[in-house]
Amino acid sequence: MKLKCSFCTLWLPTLITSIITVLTFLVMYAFLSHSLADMLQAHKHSQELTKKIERMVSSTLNATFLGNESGFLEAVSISNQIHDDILLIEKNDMYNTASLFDSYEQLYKKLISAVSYSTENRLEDARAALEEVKVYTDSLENRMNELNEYFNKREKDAEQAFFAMMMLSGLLLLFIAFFNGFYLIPRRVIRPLEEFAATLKDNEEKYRIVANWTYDWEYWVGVEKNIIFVSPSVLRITGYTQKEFMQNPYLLADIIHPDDASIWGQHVYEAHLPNRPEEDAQEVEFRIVRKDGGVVFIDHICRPVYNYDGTYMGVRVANRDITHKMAILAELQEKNNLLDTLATTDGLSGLYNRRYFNEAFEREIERAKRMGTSLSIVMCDIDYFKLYNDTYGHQKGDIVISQVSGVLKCTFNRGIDVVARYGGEEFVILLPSTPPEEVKRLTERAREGIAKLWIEHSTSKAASFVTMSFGIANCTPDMSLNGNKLLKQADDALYESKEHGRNCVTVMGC
Amino acid sequence: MLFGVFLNAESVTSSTLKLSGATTIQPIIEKIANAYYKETKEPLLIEGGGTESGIEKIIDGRSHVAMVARNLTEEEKSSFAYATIAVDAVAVIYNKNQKIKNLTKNELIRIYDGSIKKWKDIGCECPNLIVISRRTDRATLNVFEDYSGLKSPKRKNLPPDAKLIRGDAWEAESNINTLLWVAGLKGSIAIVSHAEAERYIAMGYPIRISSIENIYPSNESIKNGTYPIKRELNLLWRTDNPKVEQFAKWIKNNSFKKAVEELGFVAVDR
Repeated sequence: MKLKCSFCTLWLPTLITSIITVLTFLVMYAFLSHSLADMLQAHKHSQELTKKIERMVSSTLNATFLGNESGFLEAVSISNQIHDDILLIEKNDMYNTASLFDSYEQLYKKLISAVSYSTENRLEDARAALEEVKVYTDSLENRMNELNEYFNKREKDAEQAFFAMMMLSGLLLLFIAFFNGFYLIPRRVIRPLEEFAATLKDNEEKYRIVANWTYDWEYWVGVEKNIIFVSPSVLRITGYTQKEFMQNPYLLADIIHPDDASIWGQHVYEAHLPNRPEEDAQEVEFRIVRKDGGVVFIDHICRPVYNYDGTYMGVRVANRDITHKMAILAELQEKNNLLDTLATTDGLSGLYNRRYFNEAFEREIERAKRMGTSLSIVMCDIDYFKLYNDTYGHQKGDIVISQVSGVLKCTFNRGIDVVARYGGEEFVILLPSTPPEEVKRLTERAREGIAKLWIEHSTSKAASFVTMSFGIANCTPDMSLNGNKLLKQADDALYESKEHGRNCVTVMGC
Repeated sequence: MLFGVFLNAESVTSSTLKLSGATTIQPIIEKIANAYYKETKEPLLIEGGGTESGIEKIIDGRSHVAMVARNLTEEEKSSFAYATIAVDAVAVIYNKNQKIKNLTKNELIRIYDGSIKKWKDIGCECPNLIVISRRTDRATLNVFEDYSGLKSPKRKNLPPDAKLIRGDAWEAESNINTLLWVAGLKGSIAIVSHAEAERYIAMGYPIRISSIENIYPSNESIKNGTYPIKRELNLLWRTDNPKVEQFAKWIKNNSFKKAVEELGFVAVDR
């Protein structure tokens, strides 16, 4: 803004005009008072002049007729002074004193002539000369009166000049006042101020719109923990109005979901650590309880703010309602889980599929090698299942597979056990860190459990109902062991069981 | 400004010895008048009026002795008894506020003939040049006329080619007249008896005596003749009066000479 330059634009012109006025006044005053002083001096001389002329004449006459000879000397010296006075009048006041000089000289001339006649005892001549002196005296008196009138006129002129000067100075000052009042101040101060105010208002409106139309719930906590600003979107997110937040700085803490209170507490502690740089934004997610009781997920980002001179101005916060996003995330998670399940599970039996088994088998072999623990594999097969399908149809076959799977799952039910459908009617069970007799016992229980299902199987050569053959391979894996070998052993054991009439369990060690 | 004038005319008898003429000589006679009265019981009646009027008065008998402040003409010397009592210079004087101390003869002539109108013309800051000449019956004028070659316009029978003293020059009568004018008026210049001028300066009158051609009128320069403007002071009388003869005899004594010198004149040896 141009306001910075108010010295150049406002005070300097005022100062200069004022100085010019004062100087003008002083110069005029000095000039006038000087000339007035000269004039008064001249007037004083003129007044003294009259007295001096009287004294000069009386001294001369005293000297002449009363024999007081020193009177001549006095008269002469007064005459010289009179000369000086007349000259001073002229010098001080430019008054043309030629006629005054002339009159005075004539008076003096005649007076001294009378003296001369008298000293020469020429009394008649002296008397005549004195008569003439009288004439010149009158003439000189006239001159003096003229001079007095002149001075009176001059004094009046001087008074008028003083008056004019005062008027002029007054007018100048008035001009400066008007100039400042009607031109300089409105132009240099008021207009810029108005422009400044308009700009401010515009800016304020701009920032108000920017601030009020943020979609997120924005707010600003001052140094004294007071709420400086809350955006109107707070109502949408929390159900509380701007006004409620402005009036109650503790409201935010109050509506934090109780389960997230510790997250909030830790965040507040970190966010208000001193001397944090402006770039150091802190982000945290938590829940709040809306006024209507609903729970809203909030993504809360805050950072300290400083003004242009580095003064700490509080904390600026943006709260984003991420409830919707969180819901989507939850759904996505669910779908992921489902996908995971689909990828590792056999759709018909609900058991793990062969792919999952292979992964788990590799993992467990490595662990067993690492830990030096045992690992057991149980392979099993529904006896004469092909015949079952031929006899009862595939749909019934599928049901058998489901039922068998259920028994297996129930039997090998430790969390670390992996029960998988290995092929059409073939299953495999992975039992880490299980003693061989326990494996045997569980397997027997499973065989019995299947038998007890009493599922009719008229075409089976082993029994009239559905049975299963089992092969166990127990092993403490050494470094040379690999999965295939173990699986082969289990397969061999299963083969052995089939050889022995099925519906039995064969154990192979390694 | 009103003032009264009060004059008493002295009454004299016709037998009283009367001296008239040059005011230059007047103070000498006034100075010895008392001594003369004491010795002879004869009073002296002294009257100024100028050299020429003094001579006129002894011719027509209105006075007994003429005081002549110039050199006598041969005619005067043969017609009357006379005594040269002193030598006096004619001094050019101006008011003391005038700063110049010397005038050349040419400047003096040009001031008096009017070709110099203002003091400024010869480089002096002084107002109102007032040129003071003398009346034609004053011997000082004669002496000045002889020196300068100028003539007073008041003289009769002037030759047509005569150079004249300026018409506006004031004509002073007596020495005191001249001296008081000059003392009282700045810018004035005048010619006057040197001895009288010195006497007034000694009394404190603001008068300055000018050198002429750089020669100041001192006793010495007057005596040896280097100061150019000078004249004899003479007494002139008719021989038909015993009182005059008595006076003429008395002035030859030393007390007269002493009075002459005391007044600043250069006494002459007889």
